[in-house]
Formats: sequence, structure tokens, C-alpha cells
Amino acid sequence: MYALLTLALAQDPGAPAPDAPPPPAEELPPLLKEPVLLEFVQAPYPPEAEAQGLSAVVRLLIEVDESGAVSKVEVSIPAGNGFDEAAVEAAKKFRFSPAEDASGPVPVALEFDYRFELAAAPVPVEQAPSPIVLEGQLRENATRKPIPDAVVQVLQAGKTVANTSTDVEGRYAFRELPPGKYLLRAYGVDHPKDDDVEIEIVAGEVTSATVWLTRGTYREAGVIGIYEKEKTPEVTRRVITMEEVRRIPGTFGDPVRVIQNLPGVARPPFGGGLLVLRGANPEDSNVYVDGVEVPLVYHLGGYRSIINASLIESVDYLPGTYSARYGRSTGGVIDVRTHTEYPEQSKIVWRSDFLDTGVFATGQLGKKVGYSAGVRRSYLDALLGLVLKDTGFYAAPRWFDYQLKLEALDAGPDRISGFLFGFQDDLIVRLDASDEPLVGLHYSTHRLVFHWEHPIDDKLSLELQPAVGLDGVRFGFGSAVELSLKAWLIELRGNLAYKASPHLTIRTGLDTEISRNDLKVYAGSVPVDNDNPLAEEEPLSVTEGLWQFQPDPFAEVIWRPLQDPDRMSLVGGLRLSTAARTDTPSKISLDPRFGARFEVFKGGTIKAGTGLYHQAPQGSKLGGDLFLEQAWSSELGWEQKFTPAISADVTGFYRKMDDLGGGDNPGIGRSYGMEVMLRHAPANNFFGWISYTLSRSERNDTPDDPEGWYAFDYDQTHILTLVAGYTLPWDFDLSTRFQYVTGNPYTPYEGGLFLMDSGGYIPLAGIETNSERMAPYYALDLRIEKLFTFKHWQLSIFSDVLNVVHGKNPEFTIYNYDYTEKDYVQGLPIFPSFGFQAEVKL
Amino acid sequence: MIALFLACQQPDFSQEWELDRLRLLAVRAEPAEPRPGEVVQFSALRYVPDGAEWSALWIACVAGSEQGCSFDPALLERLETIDTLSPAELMQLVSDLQAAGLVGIQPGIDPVWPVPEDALAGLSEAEALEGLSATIQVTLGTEADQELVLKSIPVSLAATPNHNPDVVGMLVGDVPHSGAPVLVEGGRPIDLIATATPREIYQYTTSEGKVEERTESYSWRWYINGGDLGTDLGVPRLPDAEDGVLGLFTWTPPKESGTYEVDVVVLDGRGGMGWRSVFFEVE
Repeated sequence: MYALLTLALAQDPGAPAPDAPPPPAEELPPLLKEPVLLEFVQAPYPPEAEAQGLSAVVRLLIEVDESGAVSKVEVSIPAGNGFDEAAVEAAKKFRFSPAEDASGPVPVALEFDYRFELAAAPVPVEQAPSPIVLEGQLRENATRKPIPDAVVQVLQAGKTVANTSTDVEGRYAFRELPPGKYLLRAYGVDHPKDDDVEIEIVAGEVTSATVWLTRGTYREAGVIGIYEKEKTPEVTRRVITMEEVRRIPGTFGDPVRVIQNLPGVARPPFGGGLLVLRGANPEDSNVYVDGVEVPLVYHLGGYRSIINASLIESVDYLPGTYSARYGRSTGGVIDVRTHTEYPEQSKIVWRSDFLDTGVFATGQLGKKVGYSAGVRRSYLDALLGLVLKDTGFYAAPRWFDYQLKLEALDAGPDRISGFLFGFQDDLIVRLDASDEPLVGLHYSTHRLVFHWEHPIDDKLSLELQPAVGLDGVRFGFGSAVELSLKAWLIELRGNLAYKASPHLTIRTGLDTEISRNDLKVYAGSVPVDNDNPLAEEEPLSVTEGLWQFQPDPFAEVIWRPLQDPDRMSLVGGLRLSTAARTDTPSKISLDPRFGARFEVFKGGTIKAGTGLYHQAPQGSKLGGDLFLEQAWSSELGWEQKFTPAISADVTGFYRKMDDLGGGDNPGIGRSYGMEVMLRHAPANNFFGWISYTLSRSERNDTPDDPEGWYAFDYDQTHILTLVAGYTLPWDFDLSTRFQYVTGNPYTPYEGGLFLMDSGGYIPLAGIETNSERMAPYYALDLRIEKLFTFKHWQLSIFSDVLNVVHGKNPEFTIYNYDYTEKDYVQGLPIFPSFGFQAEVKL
Repeated sequence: MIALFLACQQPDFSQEWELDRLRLLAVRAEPAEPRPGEVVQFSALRYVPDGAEWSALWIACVAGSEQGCSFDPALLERLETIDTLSPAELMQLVSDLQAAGLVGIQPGIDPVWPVPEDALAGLSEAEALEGLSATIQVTLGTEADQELVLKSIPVSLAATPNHNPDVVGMLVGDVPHSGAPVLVEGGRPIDLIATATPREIYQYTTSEGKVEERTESYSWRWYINGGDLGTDLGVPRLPDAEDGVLGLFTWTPPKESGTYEVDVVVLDGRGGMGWRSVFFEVE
């Protein structure tokens, strides 16, 4: 049995369960979809009870299986007089929509109040009803929603003198109350009773009172970090709820940054934005937003992702053997998915902390169009300006991002949406004495995405996603050097899926990217020969344009061979990885991929995957020779669910990398290791996990030399992260994170060589590459949050204190001018930050 | 954020202008831009702390790499056995060393390099006018320390070959320096203005084949073995005087009494160098 829910489902007429007991203390992972009563069966009225004019409410405990069928009905609170038997028989014929958690449909149990009421006796026309003396409405604090099916009681001298329940609009009314002073008390299933409200009934007048109740919890239980289960079953899936995301210290509430607390992810220096997944180079992992590739997932410094957290519905984190739908990367994949649901009641969220301020709104326009819009701007430049004042140094990093998403809500079975988003980051460094920037860096990305899903028939469906975009990078060094790169992009993703049966799905598609890259370089004077320290200098002006075309077709078969299709899935796929440029011959490779999951016994799943991956040169190798870097990636693991809330995941992986440098510098690499995750999903006010990675990542620039292997720059043998959070009374949340990470390797310098003409020293590196390591990194972070709920809005105030134990964590080495003295730049000292989030529902 | 922490975490490293260990500050070739077959003599500005015994190994090559000239380390090992060699063996070793590029061992053999006749072989006439850079590799050492230096000198058939600049004058405060040690007050900043010979005008053939006249661009390096730099880094570049090029340096002498050395080096950007040392007495 999955869980025991306390749900008083409304039947017609409504049947609230005002005295419903609190949920039993059983551990519950979050439900993503609650069961909904689709088919209500009216029970015959027991004849004897009818004859006696009796009414009753029978509380039932109904168990609903994965298909939504009722598997068992028990009487929880009997009413006797034949009501119980009638209610049970009727409830057995109910039909529900299945409940779902992150793993799919699950069985649930729920409480249901079956109400028997006799039709009201005809009221003689001449007997007019008593006048209403007290009326009003129950509304929910913060959301202003009316509260239906709640209990309203009128008390006097500690005794209940009248009671009623609210209608669907949350309204209530009382008649025949004698004049006097009373207390008004109200509560509902999700709304515990608050302070009683004093009222006075005056003869001949109608007293009106609106009662505001606070919901038991406002926390949402969305899911983050889950693979896209309804499309292709990926081998490794990691599920973190939004409730956890919000509370992990050091992530600043950003869902994308949470990934850095999961297995397989190396810690970058300063906890910044590099994504080092399972030992791959940072530039070898691709980032997508709703399936559209973007060059960066973080703003400057890596502290904030480029998409407003309120817009993010999930993040697909695929560290290894992902399916053929993804390509152009040999490392991992991160796909940020935005919300596809738009509340009828519009919502505005304003969030500020020491980094930036953002505003986000979502809702519906005339019930025909759903919208989500956000804008955000950092003010780190202003804060740094204060800190660096009088240092003779001025650094101004700033970022800005925007999102606007519109989706048709009346398109029938089709889904049609448009999404415009982008960001711009700038960094200006200058000396106070000069108005002219010493260094200027600017980069920006803009994307316009259309998405159309069309079910052709009940088995065939079409999905098209064309997108256009513009990426820009500008770099300037004083007035001496200016570099700009502008890239126009056209992306087209389309796929046709044929679901032959619940056991077999065939999908074929095309993932095309066309780009036009324009490079401009200007330098006032550069040496005509870089190898000659006495070379004369000449002005340099370069303008180059380059077309790149990557039409990657793919196909995959998803086979679920067992009677229960969710127990086993086998995914075989092929992708044609292509790279074509106007200045060089094209490169093509056929990449087979395979993934499998099998639930060996209840709660125990074995998983395996292997595949070939190719990508065109990235990062610093872009623009050089065209070749395809290759990685062969494999993994084998076991997932075990011990209880509904506690689960474990152990995965071993191996990645072999070839042709890393292309051409004359082939370069090879390998990474292997084991990932462990032990997780307690949010339940009983607690959540937490232990994430541990034991790994080794190596490179060899001389493939023929078996002694040529050395540790990769971001090789971290041990990566341990412990996360825990506890919900305290009065809407206080307390959470903590501890991290221990092996230090990065580095190549020590053994002095310097003085280049007398240019005036600087160049380091003389040690014989062995990356032969030494930085000291391990460790830090304990804390976060506390308090939620205030007001009539019309809510306010969260939070504080993150990073590195509470003040660990002296060296991030990298620095040397003096001639490399004879060495020291370490340390990471964050103990660092408190504060922020707030206000949410208003209109 | 990283910039903030870097700005706040400047370790107490020794500075490049601080003379606190063995240094080779400048090397001057005469002629500054030899032709193939010409003989070049080298002189150097060294800083050797506390009068320590030093030695220098000079190697020259026409086509050096970023790491300097390739030189067989076994030859150096043979050099260590010099006391045990017969005259014939000694002559053979010297011949081998010269063939490998050794041009001087100090103290003893002052560095002199006969530029190979075929130094510009393979270059076109136009390329030979621009020439190439030869590499001079110097290893300066004491018992406790060692300094590795690469110096480049142009070898060409240029019509307007380069000449070394000279530091021809020095103003200490407003007083011309006579060459004798100067008495200064400890802790009180003092301006030093060096004057170098005028910039040369030379012909340069651009990569597009266009011949243009260019004027040298001087740069200055200052070194001290006590005291501190002036704190105002925003000092505007001095206009050139009629009789030469000026370099300015503000020095704050230490408060401890003693003799201190200030060295100034001028570079013409074409391999030419000149220098001057000034000694100060702090009361």
C-alpha cells in the first residue's frame, strides 16, 4: 500500500468531513497527481432508515489501485441503520483517475464521507423561511480562494448553538439566532481552526462576517531533476522535489544549482557554474531549455541559472547514457523544463536576495491563453562597487534575463505554445583612475521557440519545435583589443511517435541545428610573429563568417515486454551525429544507444545502459579543424525503494573518450566510478539525502604511451554531500548541507624562466602533469526560512549561512612574479546572505 | 565574486621590482643588431645579494624555442671534470661546447658570440632585411640560487640596424646625479627621472610588403633593494625632453640606515638595452 491520504472528496451534494483525523504518521513521498473521482455511484437509500426519516454520513476508507479502480472499501466511521452496507456496495463501483508519484501511477487509500440525506419535505408556501441574521464567506489567507465544504459554528457560553457548512463559493448563512454576542468558529479539511471571531446579532439587522483561514500547508510538491518519463525511459533518473530545492542551503533556491548536490557532479572552483559530469570536460555537456540548446545555464559566476526559478517545472539531469533524442555532446545533458500549467488565479512572485531581484507572473488571459512572464536583474555590480571602493580596482558584473511564455488553452487535443527568453551578462573591470574599461565582457542569448504537439490518431502523434536564436559574445581589452562573435541559430526538432501498444512505441525524428557564425577581431597592434619576442607589431582586423549545419536524424524503439509495462523497459536507439561546415569536409558518425530498466522485485530495479556519443569541437577548439570527439559511455546500477520515502541508488559508470584534440593531437580520456544516493523524500517534516561519488577521470595526450595517463583537471576522488531539512512549527524551515570533496589536481611550478625582452616570467612546470592536489574542500551550510501568511499574500524571509565552520578551502594556487613563491586563493569564508520572496494571488 | 576574493586575498609575495635575491636584470649585445659573421659581445646588469660568488653560463643559438636553446646536459657534466682534463681533452671540450652554442662561462670566459655566417640562410632578400631573432640563454647561479633568462637579439641585413639606448642622465629630486652615492632621508619619497638617448627611426617592411618608417618605443624598468614604490600608479607619462626620453620613478627609501641600490633599465623594444645604477645612503 502506497500511502494513506486524508481526502474528503466532494460528492454531490458535498459531504465535508469536519472532524477528519490528522494523517497517520506514515512516511510519504510526494504525490504529483491526486486521484479524482470520475464515476460516482448513488447508493440506494435504506428503506427502514428512509421510513424513519433518518439521514447519515458514513466515513469510508477506500483503496484505489494503479488503474483507478476501487480494490477495497472499509467502513471507518459507521452510521448503522443499513447505511454502512449501502455505502460500501456503492463505493466499490466508484472509478477514480489514478494517483501518481514520480515513478508513475501508484495505489493510494483515501477517506470518503458518503452522505445520505432525505429530500427536504415540501415547505408550505405560506410558511416563509426565517430571515437570515448572519451570513458571510470563508476565504483562504494569501490566496483569497473561497473555502467550500468547511464547517461554521456559532458558539455562546462555550456551547455550539448552531452550525452549518459552506457552499461551493465558501458562503454560509444562519437563521433564527436570537440577538446577542456570539463567537464564530470555522474550519475545514485543509484549514485548521483559527481564533474564534466575535460577532453580534442585532434584531432586525443582518450581520455579515468574512472569516479568513490559513491553509495547513502552502508548500508545493513539484518535481525537479526527473527524467522525462512519459517519452523515453532514461537509465538514470534522479528525483528531487521543489520542496527540497527551495530549502537546500547554498543553491539560493535555484533548481538548476541543485544538480551540483547530486552524484556524478564534480564541484567547480568557488562552487561556480562549470558542469563537470562524470569526469567529462565542462564544454562537453549540453544544456537545453525546453529542448532548445543554449550555450550557458548559469549567469556570471555560476550562482544563478538563466531561467527564473518560478518558471521551472523540472530539470532533466542525464549524466551518462541518455537516449538518441539528445546529441552533440559526449558528456551529460541538462534540460530545463518550464511550466506547462497556468493557474486560473493569477500569481505574482517577487524575489530578492543579495544577488538580484526578479518578478514573475503567471495566469490565464480569458481562459484561452495561459501566460508566464518573468524578468530579473542583478545588482552585484553596485554591491561590489561599495566593497572595492578605494582599492583602485572596480569590477562590475551584472546580469539580466527575461522570459515570456504563451500557450493556447483552447486548442483541443493539440498543444501549441510560444516561448521567448533570453539573458545578457556583462562584466566591466576598470581602474578607478581611468574611465576607460580595462576589460569588458558581454555575452547574450535570445531564443524564440514554438512548440506544437498534435495527436494524429490514438496511436500516432507528431511533435514539432522550431526555434530561432541569437548568441553574442564581445570581449574588449582597453581600446587595444576587441573581439565579437555573433551566431544566428535555427533549430528544428521534430518527431513522430507511433504507440503500437502499451508495450511498444516507435519514435523517429530529426534534430537539426543550423548556425551562422560571424567573427570580428580588431587589435590595435599585435606581434606579427608570436614566437619572436622582438617581432614588430601591426594592426589586426579579421572578419570571418562560417555556416555550420548539423542535421541529426534519430530513431528509437521503446519496448516494454512484460504484462505490466512499467516493470521492464528496453530502449534501443540510433542517432546519426553530423557536423558540416562551409570551409571543410563534413563529418558523420552513427551512434547506437541502448538502455534498460527492470523491476526485479517490488521496489528493486536493475538498470543498465551503453551508447556511443559524438560532438563537434567545443570551447577553445571551436573554429579549428572540424572533427568529431567521441565517447563511449556505459553504466550499470540498482535502485532500491526500502519504504515509500526511503530509497537508494547505486550506479557504476565507465566512459571512454577518444579524439579529444582532433588532428595531430588525438588525445584520449577515461572516467569511471561509482555513485551512491541514499534519500529520504519529504515526509514527516523531514527530507534529506546522502550523495557520494567515488571516481577517477584521466587524460592521455599521447595515446601510444601507456605511461602518459594523468589525472583530469577536475578529477575529484571523493564527492560527498549530505543534505537534511526539517520543518519546525510556526512555518519555520531549517536545513543544512555538508560537503566534502577531494581537492583538484594541479601541476606544480618549479620556478620561472625570465623572458627579458617581454619582461615577464613563464612558469617551468613540473615533469608530471597534475602531480599534486589541492587540499580537500569541506563546508557546512545552514538555511533558515520563515513563512508569513497574510490575508492577501505570503512572505518568506530566508537566510543562508555558507561555510558555518569557516573551512579554509583553497580553490586554486597563485604564484609570485617568478614562480618561486606559492600561495592559495581560498574560497568563501563564513558568508551570510538574506532574502525574501513575496507571493500574491490575484 | 571571484574578483572580490582575489582583490581581498593578495598574499605577501615579493615583488618583481624588489631586489631581494639573485637577479639578471638586463643583457646588452654590442652590436645590438649584428649581421651574420659579426662578433657580438655581451654585458649584463646583475644583482647579487651580499656579494655572493656567482657564475654564469652563456649559450646562444639562432633558432631557439620558447624554452631556449637545446643544449646537451652531458656537456655540462663534462665541464664539471675540467680540473682533471688533459690540455687536449680540454681543447676538445671547449670545441664541443662552442659547437653546441656555449659562448661564455663567467667568471673566466666573457660571453662573445660570433654570429654564424649561415644565420639567415634560407630567407629571401626581403626577409633577411627584417632578419630573425637569435636566442641568448643565460644561467646565472650562486650556491643558493639560480636565475634562468632568455634574451633575444635581432640578426639581419637591415639598412637601419638597431643600436642600444643609453641612460645618459638622472635627476634625483631636482639634482643631476653625479655618479657618487646620494644622501637621502629615510621614509621620504623622492622622484627619480632618468634620461635616455633619443629614439631611433628605422625602416620596417609590413607583412603586406609596405615599407614604413617607425620610431622606437621605450619602456623602463626600475629595481630597488630597499624601500618602496610610490603609491600613485596613475602618474602620467612624461613628455620627452629635447635631448632624450624620460622615465620617472618615485622611490620611498627605507627608514633603516644603510646603502641602497636603484637600478633603471631602458628597453627600445627591438632588443636594445641600456641601464644605470644609482646608490643612496640613508642616514
